[in-house]
Amino acid sequence: MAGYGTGQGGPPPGWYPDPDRPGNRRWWDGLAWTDFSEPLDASDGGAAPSGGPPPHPTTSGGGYSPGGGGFAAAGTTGPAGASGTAPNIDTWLWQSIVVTVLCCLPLGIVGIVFSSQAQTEISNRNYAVAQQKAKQAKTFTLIGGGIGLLSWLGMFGLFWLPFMFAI
Amino acid sequence: MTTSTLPPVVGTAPRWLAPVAVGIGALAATATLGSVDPEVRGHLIPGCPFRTFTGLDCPGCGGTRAVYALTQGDVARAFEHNVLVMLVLPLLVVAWAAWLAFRLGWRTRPLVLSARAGYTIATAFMVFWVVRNLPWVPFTWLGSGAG
Repeated sequence: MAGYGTGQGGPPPGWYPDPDRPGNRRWWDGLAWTDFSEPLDASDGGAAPSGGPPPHPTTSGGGYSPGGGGFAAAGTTGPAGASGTAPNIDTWLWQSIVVTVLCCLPLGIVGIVFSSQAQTEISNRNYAVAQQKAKQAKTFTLIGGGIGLLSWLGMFGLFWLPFMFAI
Repeated sequence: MTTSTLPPVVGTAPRWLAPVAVGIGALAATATLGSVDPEVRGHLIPGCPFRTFTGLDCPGCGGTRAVYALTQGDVARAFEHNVLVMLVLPLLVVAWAAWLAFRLGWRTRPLVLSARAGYTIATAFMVFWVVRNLPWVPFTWLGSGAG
C-alpha cells in the first residue's frame, strides 16, 4: 500500500492501534483515519467494537490526518494492514539534516537521532511508537529551525541594518 | 486512483507542488549565491551565528563558500571549505529526486535511509563539529578557516 497515489486504497476498515496515542485504537475507514479513538483495554477486551463499527464518517469533517508534514505524509498514513505493507511514516530525517547544516545547532542532530529511532521502530513494525519518535524528531527539527532562523535574522539586524544606516 | 485520502483543504494543490517549490527555491538561492562572492565584505551573505558568538566552526561553516565554489566550477576548493556539506549535498539531491518521484506517483515511498545510516550521519556530524575545531594540523584542514 502506498500512502496515496497508486490507487489501491489501504487496509480494510477496522480498529487499528492509534498511531498518535499508543494504548488507544482508532477506526480506519478503509481510506483514512477517523476521529473515533478509544482505549485498547476497553471492557470488551479489545474484541470487535460493540454495536458494529461507528457510522462511516466522511472525511469532510477534516478527516483526521496523523503524521506530520514534511516530505511524505501530507495525507494519511494508514495502519499496517493484513497485507503487511508498512504505512508511510515521515521520520523527518532529511529535514533534520538540513536544519543541522543550515542552523548550526545540536538540536538538528537530536532530530536525526530521533529520526533514526523512528526508522528502527518502523523496521520492527512498531508503527505507533515510530510515529511518536518521528513526532519528537519533528519537534526538535522545528525548534532548531526556528532558533536558527531567529539567529540569522538577529545577525542581519545587528550587522546589516547598522551598515545600511551608517551610509 | 483514489484521491479521497487527502483532507479537502489540501486537496486543491497538486501533490508535486511541494517538492517542485523546494527545488525551485534551492535553485534560485544557488543561482543568487553564484553571482555574489561570500568572501567579499559588503556582500550581504550572513555569517554563521555559532561562529560569530563562539568563534568556533559549526558543521555548516564554510558551506556557503563551498556552494559558491561549486557555482564557479571549483570543486577542489569547495571540498576545502566544508567536506561534510559536499558529501551531504549529493545525498540531499537524491532524496529530493526520490521525493519528487514519490509525489508524481512514480515511486511508492520517498528515499528511506536505514536507522544505522541515520545514526552514522548523526555521529559524523558530531565528530566533524568537534574535530574541525581542533588546533592540530590534520584537523585544521577541516576547518572553514580564512580560506
